[in-house]
Amino acid sequence: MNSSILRTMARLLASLLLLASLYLLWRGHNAPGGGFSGGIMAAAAFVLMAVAFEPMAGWRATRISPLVLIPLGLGVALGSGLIGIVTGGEFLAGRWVTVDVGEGVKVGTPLLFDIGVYLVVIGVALAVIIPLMGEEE
Amino acid sequence: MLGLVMAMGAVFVAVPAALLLPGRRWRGLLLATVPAGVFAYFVSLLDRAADGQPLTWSVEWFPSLGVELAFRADGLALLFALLIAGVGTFILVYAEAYLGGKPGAGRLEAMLLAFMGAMLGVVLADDAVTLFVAWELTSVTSFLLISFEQEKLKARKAAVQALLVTGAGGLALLAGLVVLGQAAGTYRISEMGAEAVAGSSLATGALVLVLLGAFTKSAQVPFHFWLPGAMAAPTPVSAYLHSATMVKAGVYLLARLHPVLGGLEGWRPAVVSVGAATLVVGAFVAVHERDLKRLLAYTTVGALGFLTMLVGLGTALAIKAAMVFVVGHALYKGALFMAAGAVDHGTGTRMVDELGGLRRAMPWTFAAAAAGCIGLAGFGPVLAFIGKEAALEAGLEDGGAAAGWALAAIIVSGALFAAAAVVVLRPFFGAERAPGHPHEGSAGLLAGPLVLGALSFGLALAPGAIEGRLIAPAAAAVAGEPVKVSLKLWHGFNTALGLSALSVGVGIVLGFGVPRVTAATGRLIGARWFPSGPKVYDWLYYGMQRLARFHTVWVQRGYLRGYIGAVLLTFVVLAWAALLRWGVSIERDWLTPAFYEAAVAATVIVGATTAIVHMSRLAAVTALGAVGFGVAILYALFGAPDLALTQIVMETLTVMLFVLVFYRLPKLVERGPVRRRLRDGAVALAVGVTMTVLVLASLGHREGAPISAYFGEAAYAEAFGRNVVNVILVDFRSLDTLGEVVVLGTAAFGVFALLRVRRWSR
Repeated sequence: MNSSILRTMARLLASLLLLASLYLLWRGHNAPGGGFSGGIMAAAAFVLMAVAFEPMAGWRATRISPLVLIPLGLGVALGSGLIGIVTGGEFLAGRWVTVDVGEGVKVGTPLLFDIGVYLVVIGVALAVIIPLMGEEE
Repeated sequence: MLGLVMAMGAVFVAVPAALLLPGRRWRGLLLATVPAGVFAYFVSLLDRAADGQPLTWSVEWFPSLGVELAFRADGLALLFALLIAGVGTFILVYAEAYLGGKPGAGRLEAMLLAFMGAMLGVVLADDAVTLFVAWELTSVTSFLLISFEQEKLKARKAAVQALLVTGAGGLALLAGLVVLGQAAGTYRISEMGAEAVAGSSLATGALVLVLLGAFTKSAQVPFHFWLPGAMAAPTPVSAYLHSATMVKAGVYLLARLHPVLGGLEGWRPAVVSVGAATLVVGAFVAVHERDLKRLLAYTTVGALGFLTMLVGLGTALAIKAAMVFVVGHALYKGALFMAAGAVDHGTGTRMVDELGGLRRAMPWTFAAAAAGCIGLAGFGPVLAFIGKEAALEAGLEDGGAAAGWALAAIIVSGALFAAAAVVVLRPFFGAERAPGHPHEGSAGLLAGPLVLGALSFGLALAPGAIEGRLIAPAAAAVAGEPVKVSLKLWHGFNTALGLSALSVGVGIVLGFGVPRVTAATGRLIGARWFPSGPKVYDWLYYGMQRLARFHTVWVQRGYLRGYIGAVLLTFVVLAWAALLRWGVSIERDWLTPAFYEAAVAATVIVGATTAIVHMSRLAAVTALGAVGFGVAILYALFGAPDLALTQIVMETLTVMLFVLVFYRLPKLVERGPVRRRLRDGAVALAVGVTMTVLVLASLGHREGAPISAYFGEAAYAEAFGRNVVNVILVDFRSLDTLGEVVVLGTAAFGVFALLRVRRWSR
């Protein structure tokens, strides 16, 4: 696709989509959102890059290869579960700390788990979609 | 108390050691110290078992099912455990010498040790489930051991055969043990009561299933054929698994459960007849074999039949005979197998007809083989002879029909065993003949067979060493009551001795006539139509594959619309069956929607219709996207913002995915024949109607309190989140989510690989 309007807009839109996806991820615990929808939105941002420029541009835009993001995300999710064991509970038991900002923000292992899901979903979506788009490396 | 577990643990700990140690001569010796130590430990437990206070150890495993990890070292368990550890000690030394620094020797020793640990688990287990787990572990390790020379097709085939036969029996055993546990009300074998089992309606089922497990493992007719096939394994494996230990697991199981099941009506006829048949068949086929190891394998089949038969008879004398013979057989058969391996090692062949005069070149091997053959023939100052005489006396004393058959089987097979012993010894006599230059084996090869052969004599000459401490407690455990045991080599001239002498005498004469006297019967067994075990097995094995192929071709046609149709129609049929069974009641309030609801519904309908009618694939996909967004709006309207959000982003990506795929497809020019379109339309309509009715009907069928209230409260109180959906996903049910993302990730790698392969192949 060769459209300079699309290219210019794509960079801007992709950044906004990424920001929005991170916001979804963060607020997921208390409001609509979460790792899954956030991850898909982030994937959409990279697919937009791939459509506007060329498939490998979308692939490379993640910096870490989508094929690495999948095991990385699984590792993060698994690690969040192991924290439960290490601290003397069960696998995947929630553990929380309160960060002293404003009224105090609770941060816990479920958020870490959600980050893992977020990474896996980005990796999976891109690993399936981008190879479908591109003929060449 | 922990000693039992530590003894087994020590054997398993030695497994990685065997893999890591360098392949030197001392490795075998070093590893052998482990079973030797375990042997000594078990010896120290003998007195406790004899006093009726066996060492026990248990820990809860599945408390809700009453399953424990329980071990108990009573007389029977110790008898077998001592054989396993004792013979195992020599086998490890022998294995090192046999493979002599070849790569893979460490692997073989590691697997032998793993097998040893599993086998100790079988005999020491006091919980039915623990026993089963160890039992299966022996099947798996034995599979690995038989297929040790994995580059050989024959070895792989034999291993699969052994695994399938014993594995199928293992399944029967699992069912049998569970049924038995239900009937007895406990899985603790030592606490199972014969009355409770006999009074249960499950008794016959438990008996049949347990017997199937025991018969397959101990190579009883008609499952005997896997054992000679397993001779594809290296000799140390054959000597260990297929003479002394694993194949005796079935006999052990029968003996172990004899107090519980022995009183049942079917026990005696079933076990005695199968045992007697196995004894005669094994001994008969053995005489026809020309390969030393296969010959020994068939005599082993016969000996296992002998033991099974004795346990089946179940009198105090028969049990005593069985316990003595278990030890006697392990000693002489272990010696014979190892001597046969030494012959193979020294000459390069095991075929009887190619060998002669080896006693000059291999005097020590000859000594070991001769000692073993006296045991095989069952006549002379050896422990097996004491066992056989006791068996004959048990048969004479009993007087029943079963005992009569048993007597006949012992006498016939006694002659055949003696003939087999002559065949085994013939390579050592006559003019010197061998393919290579025959040479005596190293000390490592000779130590095992010589010591076992010597013990076979020594224990017979001084039976006092074992009668009170070893045989009596074991026999008592099998009989379920104390058994008085006094072993004597010489019983004076009696009927048993006369019968024995007669049958062995005939056998020796017969043995010199082999292969001339067996020519006719050999042709019979070898005939194409003769339903021998391997042929039946092959028929079943390949028949199963043919059935699978036929079934696959018939069910898996390869048309996507066929699969989808099958799934959808199944759903329609099942849903309507349930709806008609429980009745449908539909409330009418859905007929008056708000105007915006009606608008969204109209959008969805228009989108769906467009997707069906339009000739352009891209237009159809876009129309489907409209349906998806419509559904997302419905979610939002009915209070599921999370779902709506996910649906919108998901729909976007799905449309893109479809566009990317359809972009490559050729233009749609025609829609196929009208008949097919009508059929597809009917299926689609049926599914749509069913789904609609189902949804509407389910609205009127609210039963029980909805769980949303609980989650709504617990989400913030326990997991500090106000988004219930997300809290469930990442906290309450996070294990499910973890499983889902693992599946997603795995699938993505699969898709990625497929797409890449397509591109590279261009």
